[in-house]
Amino acid sequence: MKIESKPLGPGLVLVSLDGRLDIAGAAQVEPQFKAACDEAALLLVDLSRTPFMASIGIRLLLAGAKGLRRKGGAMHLFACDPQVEKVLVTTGVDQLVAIHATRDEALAAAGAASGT
Amino acid sequence: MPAPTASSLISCLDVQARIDDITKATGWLGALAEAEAWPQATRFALELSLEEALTNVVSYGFRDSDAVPRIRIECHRLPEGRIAVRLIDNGVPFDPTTIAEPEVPASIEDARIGGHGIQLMRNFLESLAYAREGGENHLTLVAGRPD
Repeated sequence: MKIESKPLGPGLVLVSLDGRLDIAGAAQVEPQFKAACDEAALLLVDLSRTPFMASIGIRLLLAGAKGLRRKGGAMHLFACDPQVEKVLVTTGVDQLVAIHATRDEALAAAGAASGT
Repeated sequence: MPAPTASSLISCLDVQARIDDITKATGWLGALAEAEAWPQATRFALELSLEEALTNVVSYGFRDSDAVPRIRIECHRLPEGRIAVRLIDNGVPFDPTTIAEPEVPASIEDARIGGHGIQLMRNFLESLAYAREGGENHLTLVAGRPD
């Protein structure tokens, strides 16, 4: 699994996850994902190239979202595969982390949340 | 004589109690899904559930056990397009069907980071059945109910 992290503005970071977020994939991306959560106040996560997610992926996202919330930030997910979205809904992650259809919607919501 | 459930074994795989073998097992199941042209939802449900169930066995099944780990995964074709994956291991007795669902927390601060595997299996599978037979855990995952 691959991860790409790109700053979009002050405190705003876009992370793209590419591959299966299973037990092997999560181990591969965890250090860089954590670093992006540490660096960002608002983290946008592009899931358009994540066709699979298991509970280890939920663990990664929730740990990151908790850290962001502690410093007054937030995580925004976008472009989920329908089955991956079902994983997020089943585990209640959708109640805790915003899920958007597109990158533009995620950007708009993150902008509104940061007051810019 | 055919079994009364009319199931037929498609393939089976023996794995070790190692984290790396979880990905090996889901890869094996994914290849079967390709070869047998399962619907995407069936494939996702079974790969997800096998990963969750096998993670439990590998992580906890042999921690307090002196047994030499034996883990076998069988894939069976059932009537009406259903698929059963059976996970058989000689680890400590563990019945995941008795585990309570975690509650959805009110806030991210209260959210539990882990414990979602069994919740996912219950929600993605048509059935999840457990039996302890001959010193082994038998966990049967069924998916693929016709629309």
